[in-house]
Amino acid sequence: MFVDKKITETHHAQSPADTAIGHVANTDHGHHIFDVEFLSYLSTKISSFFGISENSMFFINLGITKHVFVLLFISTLMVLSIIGLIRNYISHKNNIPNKLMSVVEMFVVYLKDDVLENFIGKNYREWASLIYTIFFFVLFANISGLIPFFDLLGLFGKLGNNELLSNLSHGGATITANANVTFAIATITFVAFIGAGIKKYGFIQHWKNLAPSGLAWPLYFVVVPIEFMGLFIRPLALTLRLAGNMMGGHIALVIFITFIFSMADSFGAWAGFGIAPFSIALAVGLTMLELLVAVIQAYVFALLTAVFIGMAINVDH
Amino acid sequence: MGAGLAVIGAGIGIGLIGYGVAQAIARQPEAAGEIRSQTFLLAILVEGAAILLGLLSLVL
Repeated sequence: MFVDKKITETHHAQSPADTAIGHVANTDHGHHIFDVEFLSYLSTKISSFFGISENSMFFINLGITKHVFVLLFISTLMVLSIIGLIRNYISHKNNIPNKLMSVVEMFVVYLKDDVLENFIGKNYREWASLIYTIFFFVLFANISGLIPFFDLLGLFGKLGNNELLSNLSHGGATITANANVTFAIATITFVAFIGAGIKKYGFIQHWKNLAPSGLAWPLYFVVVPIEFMGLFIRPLALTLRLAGNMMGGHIALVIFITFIFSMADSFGAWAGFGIAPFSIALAVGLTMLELLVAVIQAYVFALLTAVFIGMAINVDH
Repeated sequence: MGAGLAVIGAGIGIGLIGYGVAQAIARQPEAAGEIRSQTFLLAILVEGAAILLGLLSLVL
């Protein structure tokens, strides 16, 4: 148990803030974990079609970075596990849910009773599949961010000098801490709640429903812009809420851990040892909190989607 | 600084919601389920504003 000078020196090169950002951020766009020839060919073709140069910020990059890889992995895992579980459950005659199935059932029933029936109303079945999909996707993504499998892979990669594994290192991958991912989900919500209103009331009546009828006419100059802005603020708030929550939690977690190294840096190795029990205890507690937040944020995303769809469908004025 | 202000605002807001909920459930225990789901919604909206501002203060 001896902290070698070399270790503290290598950590000196990276400030705690850099480590924290590396933990939540995606890999660089020029830094793919898999090099798929076809995808990079396609990216250059599409970008040059729109007249975007290679070095531009708007370069359309289809390469597989860390977050894209995790996104694909989680989606596959989610679809296979959830569909497999439910198929298995339905096909059995005696209908006794196994352990995993009872967890899924708990979430499904809770969402149905508390969210769907309350906010969407009697015809909740129409939108149930969308809301369940959003809930389980966000849940899987949030929880997978708490499992440090990339750190472990990165460690093995450093030991064996494997290029693929060391590309995967620097931190876990909470894809929901990436605002691009949450914005994509929020866009689905945005399309869904506009589509829900249009489907129920027709195109023109839906837009009329946005502003309450029966006000004195000068008020419409105030109400209509506010409602219109609200329309776009809703998906934006969804995006930032999820991304901010996940990113904030993970940055706090990493900063608690890097306390050890910054103390060791400035006051010597023994200060690092001294602070380690406290910062690890805090980090463990914070991880428990993050587990709670992961489920709550998935619930919140599903809840708000249901609320917005319900607002478009049940117009009560 | 900005993050601190955002937290103060959200803290007051969520505190008021919690106060209201505790009173409402005490008066009508049978309506607890319905009150709770409404609470979630309100707390989320308040928290959403706080996170938005917190993030803004982080970026700017």
